[in-house]
Amino acid sequence: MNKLKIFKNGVTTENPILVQQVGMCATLAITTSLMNGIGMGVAVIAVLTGSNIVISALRKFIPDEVRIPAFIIVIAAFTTIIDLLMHAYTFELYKALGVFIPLIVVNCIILARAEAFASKNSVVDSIIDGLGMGVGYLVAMILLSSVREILGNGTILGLRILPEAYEPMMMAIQPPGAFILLGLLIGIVNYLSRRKKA
Amino acid sequence: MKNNFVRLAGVLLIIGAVSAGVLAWLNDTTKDLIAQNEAKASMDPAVLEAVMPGSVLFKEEDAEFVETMKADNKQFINLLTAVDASGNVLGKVVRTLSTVKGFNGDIELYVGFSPDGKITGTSVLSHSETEGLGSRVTTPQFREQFVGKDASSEISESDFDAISGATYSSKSFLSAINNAITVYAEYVK
Repeated sequence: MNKLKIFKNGVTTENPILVQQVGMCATLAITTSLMNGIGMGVAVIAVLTGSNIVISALRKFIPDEVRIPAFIIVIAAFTTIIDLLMHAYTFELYKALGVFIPLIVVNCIILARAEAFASKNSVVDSIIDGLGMGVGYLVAMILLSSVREILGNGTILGLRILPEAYEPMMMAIQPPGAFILLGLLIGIVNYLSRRKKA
Repeated sequence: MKNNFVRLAGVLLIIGAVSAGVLAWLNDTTKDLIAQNEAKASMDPAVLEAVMPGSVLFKEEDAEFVETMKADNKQFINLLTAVDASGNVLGKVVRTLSTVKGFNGDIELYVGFSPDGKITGTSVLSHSETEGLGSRVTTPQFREQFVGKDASSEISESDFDAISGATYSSKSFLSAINNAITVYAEYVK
């Protein structure tokens, strides 16, 4: 597979949120504001690429029978590394994302890519796959979180864009609104991708 | 068969040990910076001003005294003395967690008390409420309603305006204030 195709695969063809629909719990919980969405997206890119590199490099060393626990140790270690680094160097962002960083461990996108891609492909390809899937995740997070912040709060990145008279649609930042808006978003993406094919 | 067993366990052991080693090293190198960040955030001038107008420093109390209070009240974190630029004591500040859980956990507050037993201000140090909804307990509009309240008795739920749609967060915030009032009444007055 050529490199560009691997990258594009993660962003569009097999977008983790909009097409594969994995790792929903963190996505629905965190996308209440654009800043959160971007922060989580960037953290996922870092953990996903890091764990892909290590798992790909170790793919011949890790026996098949114990690959899942081995992958999880690597992913958990990377998540903790990101957690500590953010706590030390980007304190404001860390405050905002708070409890969600440890949740990356259970984000199945990371384990899914380790299992489906990194354990079978070269290190360079795995880096590109990690970046592609990560960027795909980030794009989906940006789309969903900006819609939710605009509808639910009338702001974008904390700046008011809808007039004060706009009564915020409370449901958009509550969990049911997250499901409905994500469903609509996936519907639009499906519609566009089918029309393109036809 | 037996060899295989040893090999599988051995590989996991090596991966686990290396990961643990890396994390231990990183934890060691970042822990001072993290502690600094936390201390700076809790001593931010804007925070001090919101809790006790005019204060420039929150001084630590006698550590032993604070420890006995902690043993007594699980959610209580620290008692501090607020002083202004010329060193005059302005009042006491209680740092506490909420006693009633919010939507996603405890809310951590500073509550300032003037010498005549009135609340001078509050500030949220940490919370994990929903962004844009429960997080509105951190806004001045919500926190201002507690300024000037008498700390001689707990504030009841009928005596404050909860944020619509964020009842749990509001009640959790109130419980932290009430815990501060309890501590204040018991140890400071």
